Amino acid sequence: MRDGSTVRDTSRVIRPGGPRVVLHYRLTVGLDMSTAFVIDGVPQLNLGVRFRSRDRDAATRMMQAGARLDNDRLCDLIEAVAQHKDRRAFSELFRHFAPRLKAFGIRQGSDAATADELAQEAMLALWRKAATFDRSRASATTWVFTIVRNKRIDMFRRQRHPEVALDEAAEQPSEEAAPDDRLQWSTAGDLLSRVLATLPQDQIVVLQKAFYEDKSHSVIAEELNLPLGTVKSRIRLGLARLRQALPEEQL
Amino acid sequence: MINHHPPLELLFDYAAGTLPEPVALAVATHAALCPMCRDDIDAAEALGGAMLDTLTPVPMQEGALDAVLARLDEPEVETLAANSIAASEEGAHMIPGPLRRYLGAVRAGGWDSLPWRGITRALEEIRLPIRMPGFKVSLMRLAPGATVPVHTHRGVEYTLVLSGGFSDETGEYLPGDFACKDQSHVHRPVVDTDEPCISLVVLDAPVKLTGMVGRLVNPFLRM
Repeated sequence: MRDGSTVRDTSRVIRPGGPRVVLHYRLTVGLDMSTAFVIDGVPQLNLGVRFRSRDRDAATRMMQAGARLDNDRLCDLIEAVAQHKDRRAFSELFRHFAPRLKAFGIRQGSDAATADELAQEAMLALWRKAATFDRSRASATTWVFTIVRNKRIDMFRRQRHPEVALDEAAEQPSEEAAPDDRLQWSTAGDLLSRVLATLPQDQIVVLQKAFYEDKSHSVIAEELNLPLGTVKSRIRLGLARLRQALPEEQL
Repeated sequence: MINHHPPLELLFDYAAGTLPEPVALAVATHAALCPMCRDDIDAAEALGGAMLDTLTPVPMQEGALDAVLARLDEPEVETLAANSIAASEEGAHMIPGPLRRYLGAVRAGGWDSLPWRGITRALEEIRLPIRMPGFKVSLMRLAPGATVPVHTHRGVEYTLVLSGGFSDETGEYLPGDFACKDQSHVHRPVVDTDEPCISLVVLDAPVKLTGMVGRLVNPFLRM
């Protein structure tokens, strides 16, 4: 557990004679809260729900839309799909990712039906491409992001997104990006979400336009009526901030 | 050692998926050769993952999971022409993967086995099968000692050296090096290596004419 976090247990019997339900929640000094249910002293599924305390409505909706799974679990499920064509694992992945992918489509301006279709197509691509997933290279969510990104380009622009394939990564060993460095990005998911929340608004806007609105940095500059150099420096600052945040927090 | 990299914002656009396919191809091919840029792309993609993660999930339509489960055994239909070749073909390993997928059969002999088309005595070309209005995507092979007439661009010219090398006012470009020139650059590349210089060249807009002669002899100006 990280320094500065506290564990609080609540214990209550919901119904007379019923099981004793204990809600453990861990408050980190930052923004996250994770919860686990214990019934009659037996730990149940760790929901791994993390939400920002100032975003409780979103957290409630998130719980309604399906429990959030942690990265290790998601990686296990993707590998089960890759190795055994495991449909139950796929269904669990679907319940986790599809509503997020749909949200992504809607955020990009699609109507609900089109966003649903995008999410379904991306999940089908996940099933087919599961063997290319490498948990040492990217987190499950990052990998799924690249799938929905490519599917979006395929569906809406009728283009392809040329990929830098894994075999090439292996062909070119280098000291510049040692395996340890690469591991950072594969395990940094939750941390990145938190660092993201601390970025200044002007940087967030640029990132949102790029990732949600499908706009290149030059189009963003035009839209925001900013000099190209300003947009470039916001991108650079945002990425640099993420890099700085990584090593300390991961120690 | 690669000395010239795509600017970070181009790697960022690549990761966000906002680049047109020809430019994305140039970036991906560079990244296949450059671990440093691959790491920057990984970082920006991780950021994309985090952005995806911060969205509030929206429930799927009733029956969506069943609909997808029913399609899992469907054969995969490529919605776009594949143009892919077996990576195991001898000679193919010399050609970076992202590019390989846009070329026909690559036989033993690597670059030499490709269907080069002579443009001038010193220059050969292969147009890649990416049809996008406003873009020209090709492999260019320039003979040792060749120079390209002075030209400027209305849009941007992306050049990735794959074999051999060239020099211009901004320095020396060797395999893996990436150049990005716009209207502010007037450049005159010279092939100063002993072997031919093979580059992936992406032009993203009609070029500015610098003179009738340049127009006639300079395929860098042809769209």
